Amino acid sequence: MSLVWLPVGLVLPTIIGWLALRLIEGKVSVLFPVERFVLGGLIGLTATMFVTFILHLTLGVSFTLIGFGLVQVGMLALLYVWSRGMPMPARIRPSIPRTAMTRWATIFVGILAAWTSVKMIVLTVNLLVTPTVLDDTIDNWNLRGKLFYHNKELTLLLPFEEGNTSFSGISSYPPTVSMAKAYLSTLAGGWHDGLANSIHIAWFIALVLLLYWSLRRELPMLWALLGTYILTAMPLEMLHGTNPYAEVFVSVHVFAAVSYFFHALRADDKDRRIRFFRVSAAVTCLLPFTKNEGLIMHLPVLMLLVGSSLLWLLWKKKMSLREIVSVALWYIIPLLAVAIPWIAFKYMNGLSFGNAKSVSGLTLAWQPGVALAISVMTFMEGNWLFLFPLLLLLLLVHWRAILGSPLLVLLLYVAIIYLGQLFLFFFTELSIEARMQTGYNRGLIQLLPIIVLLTTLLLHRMRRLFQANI
Amino acid sequence: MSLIQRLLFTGLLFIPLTVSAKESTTWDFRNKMVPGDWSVMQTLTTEETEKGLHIKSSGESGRIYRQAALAHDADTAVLTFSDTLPQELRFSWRPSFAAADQFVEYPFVLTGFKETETVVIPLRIFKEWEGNANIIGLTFPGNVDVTLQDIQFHRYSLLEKFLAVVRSSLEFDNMRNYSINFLWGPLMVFTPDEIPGIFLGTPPRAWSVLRFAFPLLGLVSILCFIWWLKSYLQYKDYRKTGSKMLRVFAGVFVVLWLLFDLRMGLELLSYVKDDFQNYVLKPTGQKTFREFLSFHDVVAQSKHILMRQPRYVFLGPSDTLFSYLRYETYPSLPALTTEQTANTSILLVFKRPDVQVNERGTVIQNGKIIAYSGAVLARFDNESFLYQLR
Repeated sequence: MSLVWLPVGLVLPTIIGWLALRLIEGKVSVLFPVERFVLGGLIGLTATMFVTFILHLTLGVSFTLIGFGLVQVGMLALLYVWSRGMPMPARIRPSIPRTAMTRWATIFVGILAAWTSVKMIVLTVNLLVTPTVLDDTIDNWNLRGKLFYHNKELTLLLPFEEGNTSFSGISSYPPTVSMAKAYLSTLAGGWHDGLANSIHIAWFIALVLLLYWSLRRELPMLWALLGTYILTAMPLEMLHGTNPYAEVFVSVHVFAAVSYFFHALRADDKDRRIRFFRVSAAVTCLLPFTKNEGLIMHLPVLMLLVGSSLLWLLWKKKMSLREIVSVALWYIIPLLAVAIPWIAFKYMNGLSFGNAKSVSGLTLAWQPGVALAISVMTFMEGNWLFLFPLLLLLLLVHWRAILGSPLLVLLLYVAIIYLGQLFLFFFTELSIEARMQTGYNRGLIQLLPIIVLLTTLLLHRMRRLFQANI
Repeated sequence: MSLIQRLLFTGLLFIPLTVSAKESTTWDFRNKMVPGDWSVMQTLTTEETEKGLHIKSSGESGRIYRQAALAHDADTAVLTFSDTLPQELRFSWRPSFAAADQFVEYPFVLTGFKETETVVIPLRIFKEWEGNANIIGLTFPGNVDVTLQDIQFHRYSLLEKFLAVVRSSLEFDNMRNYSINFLWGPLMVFTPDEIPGIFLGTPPRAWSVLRFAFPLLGLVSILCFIWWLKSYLQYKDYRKTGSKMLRVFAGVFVVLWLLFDLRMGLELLSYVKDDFQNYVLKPTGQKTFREFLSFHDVVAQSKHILMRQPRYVFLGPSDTLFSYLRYETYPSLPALTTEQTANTSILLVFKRPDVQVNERGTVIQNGKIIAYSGAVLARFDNESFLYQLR
């Protein structure tokens, strides 16, 4: 019964996020109705947790029903007042590619969809009725959530720890995931493992739907479904999506930020491009408050690519200087509003900036055994089916086409972060994360939706080769 | 030669595979028997018992060995022990090329506390194993207390090995805590003996099936290319052939993908099946959960008592369980020893054969009293109980 508090708890954050997106889009609607609803829920929850965190630190708003409720009602009221003064966009359905699906293709995709649904449903039920046992969940995400719930306040210490912060480095993680669990438990009036874990399913479903609509914007329905299937067919992705780990939570934010940036570059007119940029900016500003990788790994690369792309658009005269400055401010101002308080909080409490392990004290030296471990995990285990050989093949065939298209930003984003991680594994003591198979695949989980988006778009191009006579 | 003749001829080729079946040799130590002439190093003492050869040492390493004299080559050695304790042993052999005092050693671990425990040595994977050996034995690195029941040597036919490869690739791992970081995927071994323990080692002593999948894809792509090249050189409609060859390659790729997806998807579903069979659908008192055995069942039955006080003592086999209890019973917290907390009156003992309660209600750990008087509130098995101090 406690599970009913999941949809109840998501109502206000979703309305807040939905309203914010409506305002961000302004006069030109670029999101599909379902997509806006899903994205609204995603950013609404993260944003309300952030505002609660800030008001908790500054005004002492506690993690109680009144505390969480006041913040959400307040945010809703503000957005409502703001939206009253602004014209709402007309309901315009974004154009979508359409092609008739053959009977066999329909059957084939139907079977894959049914198979994927069975896996998702069965694994979800299992998550909700079995004990929580995974290491990072009982040592971090759920444990901290339970601490927040019982103490009604943010705490940086875990049980049995003394001093100011957790010696394990766990308190350096943004508290968003744990706060969301505490929020749902507060609504339910008690801590329930099933309820606390159910939020991960919501994030996974949001990821799957956002990938679908992202592909649907570019491709016919069959291909969009195929891409969605590819993501959910990845065994390790499915396992992460249906277990209480934070990688899918990070990846859905990263994917939204990067994919709307990609759609901005793909947009055929200026107004739509600016709206896509704004939507991307709205998600990007939340990246520092997802997980440490959001701040130190994903954000710098994304900002680098956004900045370069804006300059390129200016150079190509596709946008005016004024528009470029406007878009840049859309990225910068909300980002600073989130990043400055969070970084200040970290400095004030002496929290590290790495993924639990601080990156500041790393020494550089060649680490043996990493290459073998990485090649085994990428190609020879059951984690990714044949995704990476397929991607490499597609890159080989389409490299020329990628260079001259916005697909390049997807590729660069993945490549820069992936190579950056490889550098850390090959040359620092973080190599243990690769050799022990604990960190490498999780890094890929965060990038996987973007990799699948790129793969599906390239696969779609490949069909021309089948049709053409070589 | 007609098609039927060709098929018949091909079928005949397979006959030797099927007639040449498994061969076995067993050295049985039960009923106070010792098969063959064994040498025992002086650091060891041995005793023939009904359950097998009881071997003991007092700290120094030692070895028992005999002339192999196997009538057939062996692919695996299967060792069975009785009444086991946790300890590391080594299977040893002297190849024909080695000097008289040189042995090749394969270390293995007995997990212990089992009536019988079987260990499979996949001899064929060692380049030092020549199918046979001059001397075969067991090496004991330090303290040892073990009863060797029997050693079996098996040799399998090609058909049996092929079937083992197919069967093992369909064997699923269990959901473990490491599964969130990686999934081994389909593995293959070449003998039926190795299949039950295929996922037990870290990393497993088995090949990934993908070792075959990638060469297969490579072969298909080469054949497609050759076909296309042939039509190109013959000035035939090579454009049409190219498109056709791409479809062939894509078709093979899609089939392999779907098979792989099916295999991995079924493995994920098997995790759920195991959890439902062993935990969700079992009545309280009979539930077990993954590698944690009955721990969650015990905690579920004890939680309301543990949470009555801010601290309680937990004596269990690992730190992971301590972390779990810290999370599960928060704000009540566990302590590892009675010294850590003076005010507690509750003690939870899980899978600790060294901790027992005597008839006067005194809790004793390895001869040392840790609680003078009290009562067992609930007993879950011989090694697990919930106890309240008076």
